[in-house]
Amino acid sequence: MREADRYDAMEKALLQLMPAALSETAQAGMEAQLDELSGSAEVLRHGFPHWAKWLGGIAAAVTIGVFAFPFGSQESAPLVGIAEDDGMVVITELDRVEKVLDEGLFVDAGGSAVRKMSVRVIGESRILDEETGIEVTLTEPRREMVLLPVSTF
Amino acid sequence: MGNFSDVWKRWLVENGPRLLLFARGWGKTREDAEDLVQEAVLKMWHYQQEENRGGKPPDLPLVFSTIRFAGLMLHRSEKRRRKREEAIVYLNDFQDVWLDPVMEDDEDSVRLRDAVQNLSDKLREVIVMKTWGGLTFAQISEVLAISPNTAASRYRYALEQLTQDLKQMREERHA
Repeated sequence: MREADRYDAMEKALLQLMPAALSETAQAGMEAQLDELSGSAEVLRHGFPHWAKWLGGIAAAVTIGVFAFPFGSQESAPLVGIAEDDGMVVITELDRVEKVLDEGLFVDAGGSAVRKMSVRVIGESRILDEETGIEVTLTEPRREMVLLPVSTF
Repeated sequence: MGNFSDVWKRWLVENGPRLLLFARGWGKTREDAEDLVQEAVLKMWHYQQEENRGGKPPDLPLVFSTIRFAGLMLHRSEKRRRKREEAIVYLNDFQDVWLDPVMEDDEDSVRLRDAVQNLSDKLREVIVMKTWGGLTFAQISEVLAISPNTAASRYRYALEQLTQDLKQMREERHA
């Protein structure tokens, strides 16, 4: 018998042997583990990290908006930018002052007079995920307290 | 996401036996081998979750590599343990087979199964990856960090050895 034929015969003989299956216990254990991992991956893929990427960028912009907004019911200038290293494009970021409430005059710890203003701000961000094409608008209402020094009465 | 888990389960059903067979070369018992497979699957899961990999089940060569690495680690710890427990004698479980003959009454298949189990580690892992894993010599060479020619040579040598073993067994049977 030629060498190649001998090998061929042996290969066919080997294929008559089938690898033994995983035990039921091992199979069930691994499947349970996959279910568990899959559950955590659900959170990982569509929960915290995904939104965190967006919220992280927004938080910074919102913070800037809060300190920059002019009082009154008007919108701050739209900001457009690209979030770093995650493929998220910030299309617009707006801080809309919804309500300003004058809470009166107070004297601060240093003895200076200040006017306390309660401001309700709605932060809105439109974000585009370049990978999926999904565009999302995030709205973040919040209340801020602003102390304005008073020099004239 | 349920589908995502199902894809992995189907992959495990399809490939679990061949992964287990490969792991048997590293685990002392079936349970050890199953632990190695589970460890590899767990590592692969996390690896595949990383960016740009899409979370899909991995290619087999990668899993074989992972099992081999886990097996090497297991061997190291086993070696240390054996030194501590030299007085203990382990008994073989003779019902614990690596391969199931398709025809249980085929005596040649049973003998061939024993011959495969008795191959040296170097030869057996190539035979297992090629025959039951369906890997190419190029893929096997990557898993074992050897050249494709060496992988092919080991494969041919293993086939030759199995042929000789089987021939010898037949002669002994008819003697």
